[in-house]
Amino acid sequence: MFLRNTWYVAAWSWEVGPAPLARKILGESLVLFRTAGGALAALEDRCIHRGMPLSRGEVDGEIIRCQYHGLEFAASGVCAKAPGQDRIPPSAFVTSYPLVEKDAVLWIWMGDRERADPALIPSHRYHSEPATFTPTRGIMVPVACNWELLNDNLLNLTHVGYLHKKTIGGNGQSHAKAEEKTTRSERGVSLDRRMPDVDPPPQYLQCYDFKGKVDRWQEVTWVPGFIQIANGGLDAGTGAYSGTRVGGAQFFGFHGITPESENATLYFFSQSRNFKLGDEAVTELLHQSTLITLGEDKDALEAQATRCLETPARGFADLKGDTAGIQARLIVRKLIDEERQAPARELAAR
Amino acid sequence: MNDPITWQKVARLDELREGEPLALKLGAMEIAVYRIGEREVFALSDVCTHEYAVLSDGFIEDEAIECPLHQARFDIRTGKSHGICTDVDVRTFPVELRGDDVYVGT
Repeated sequence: MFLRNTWYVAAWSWEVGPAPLARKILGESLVLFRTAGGALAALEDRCIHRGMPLSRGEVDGEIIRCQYHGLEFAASGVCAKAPGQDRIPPSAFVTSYPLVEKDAVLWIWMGDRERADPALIPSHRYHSEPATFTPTRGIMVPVACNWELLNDNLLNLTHVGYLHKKTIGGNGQSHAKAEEKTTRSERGVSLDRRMPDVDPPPQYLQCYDFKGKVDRWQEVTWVPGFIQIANGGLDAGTGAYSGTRVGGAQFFGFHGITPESENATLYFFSQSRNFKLGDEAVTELLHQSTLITLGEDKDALEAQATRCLETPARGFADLKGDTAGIQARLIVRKLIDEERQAPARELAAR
Repeated sequence: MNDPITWQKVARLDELREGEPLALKLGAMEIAVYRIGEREVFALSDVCTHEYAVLSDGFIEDEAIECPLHQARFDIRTGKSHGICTDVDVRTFPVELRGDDVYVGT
């Protein structure tokens, strides 16, 4: 059971062009493409005629043509042409989903179409202000775990010092003992962590010169489907916690968490920074470091998921660091319950 | 006959903000001090009677503190459990305002 009425990351802008991209989201096989005129399309990846995946076909101008018998569908899902006849049966349409581009990301709405308001799409200015921030190229890592395990991972950062010793970790204890505050709202959770006066971790030292100890922070902002993490360090005692950060190594992580199916997640990630702007060697360094860190997460999450699936009746003991993750799960449960109570809507093409 | 109370100053009233409990240790006891309105202050054991989570890390709603982990709720004024996860109330400690100084008794 998935939360449907929320915007999820479907793809990076760079992933979707005229070549159809097959992707499964919320257990549904979709085809994503961009028409010659620039329209974005997310259609069910199933020709209505005989069920052939449309992603095996080709985009031609404003339509996608099925590989099998040549039916053509517009970005709206309407069948524009059925070869061999002039009249198109009313049932010949495929489901289409709103797909909106914002900040170099393609966002999809899988729920009640009338509620798909693009104003609700999370902003991520760090992708769109090259004079102030330099992002790494967005990557997508498929992880064989339920999406909520990835939420848990990013909302309990006491794991960082242990699982990610080699990159962003630093000292295990300093992560486990960071000062933490969790706040919540109707649809969101924020987790603020501080680690004052600690050694900079390897990833920071590779690309930035600190004078000695640093004041570190991680500020995690979660809404269903998207987590933004602001983290970094300033030389100790130079205003890291003052409300205005000047200089230092400041990072802004984009974490798109999209359920692929019940036990598979599409994890979209980029890392933006406020220093050494445009320096491609630094961007590449961070990109490589990211691949290692995310690889560590993927590997661990898949092992955890396997064990948890084997032991569905076995419980869990919650610790202090689990607060934010628990609050996020409560919100997801509440939102899913609210959706279940709303009347069902008929699927229709536009 | 009860043991005599030891009073300790824990804060000035103007240091306490409604909605932001002050967590502290008095001897071996973990206590959280809550302000309600202008001059009402309460002190509760800061350990949830369910699975020992830190209550002051939780959420305040309708003059009750909700445990951050399993949503047990306790009335801030009385320490009484709302019956979620646990029926065991949290201990309360007497509070005195002496001028603008807040004293808690243990």
